[in-house]
Amino acid sequence: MAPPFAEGYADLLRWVLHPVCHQISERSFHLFGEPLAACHRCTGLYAGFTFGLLIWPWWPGVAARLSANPRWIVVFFVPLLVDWAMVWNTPATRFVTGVVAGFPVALLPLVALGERTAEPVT
Amino acid sequence: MNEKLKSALIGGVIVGIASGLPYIGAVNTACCALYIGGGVLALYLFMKDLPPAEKAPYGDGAVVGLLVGLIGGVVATLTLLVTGGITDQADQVIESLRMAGGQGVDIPQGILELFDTSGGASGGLILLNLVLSVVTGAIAACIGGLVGAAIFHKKQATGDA
Repeated sequence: MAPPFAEGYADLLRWVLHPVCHQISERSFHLFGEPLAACHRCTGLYAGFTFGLLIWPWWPGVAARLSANPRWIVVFFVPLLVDWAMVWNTPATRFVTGVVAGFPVALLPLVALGERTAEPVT
Repeated sequence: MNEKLKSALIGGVIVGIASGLPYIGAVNTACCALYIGGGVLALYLFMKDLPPAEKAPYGDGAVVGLLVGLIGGVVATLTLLVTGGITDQADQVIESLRMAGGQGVDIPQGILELFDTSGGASGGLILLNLVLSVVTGAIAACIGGLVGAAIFHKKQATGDA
């Protein structure tokens, strides 16, 4: 994800990831002076999703309640949509609302996996 | 035709064509929004006639979403070939690579040849685009399918058999 580690190939790496993110430099975190290949919001979504994959198995009570009422997951997208619609959003709000939206979505593949292997996660 | 495959085919073709078109395809730069939307759409089509159930069919949602991504990725690459989108993107990359080469960075000849579209898009470039579209599309549409299963699940009323 980090072009700084690939001197000369940064554009190539960005091209590989261009279908999934606009990669606007001003809207991306920078590492060693180079922008990452994903914007603040996408970085937040990926971070939240990864964090969710790690946390949900250790939080079975809440996971069971959320998977029993899965439509609630949509509510976690409201801050992201509000932030997206606001002109005065900041890197922090874009990242945090991304984390909030990505976190509950991670529960769904875990439940699907549990369903497929007949060993419910929750 | 299998209901899952039918829904995935409709979702995949719509998403693939949309993703390959100029401007509309740019919606995918918002975290693959078109592919996620395609997964949700396919799940709506798949679940609209399903009877209420105790649990949301997440497993089916993931499979239908995955199929949407696979079909969509192939259709998107074909659409990009028709619209010339592949060569446009490659031209930008090769310009950056040549600029880096001019600054002393060693760029292998194979990579430059891969993105050289002076004689049209090379087979390697088309294949690379296909793999990228299918992989990213499958992941995103799979998530969309899971979200669709969560949204469109009709819960069985308590006491129903």
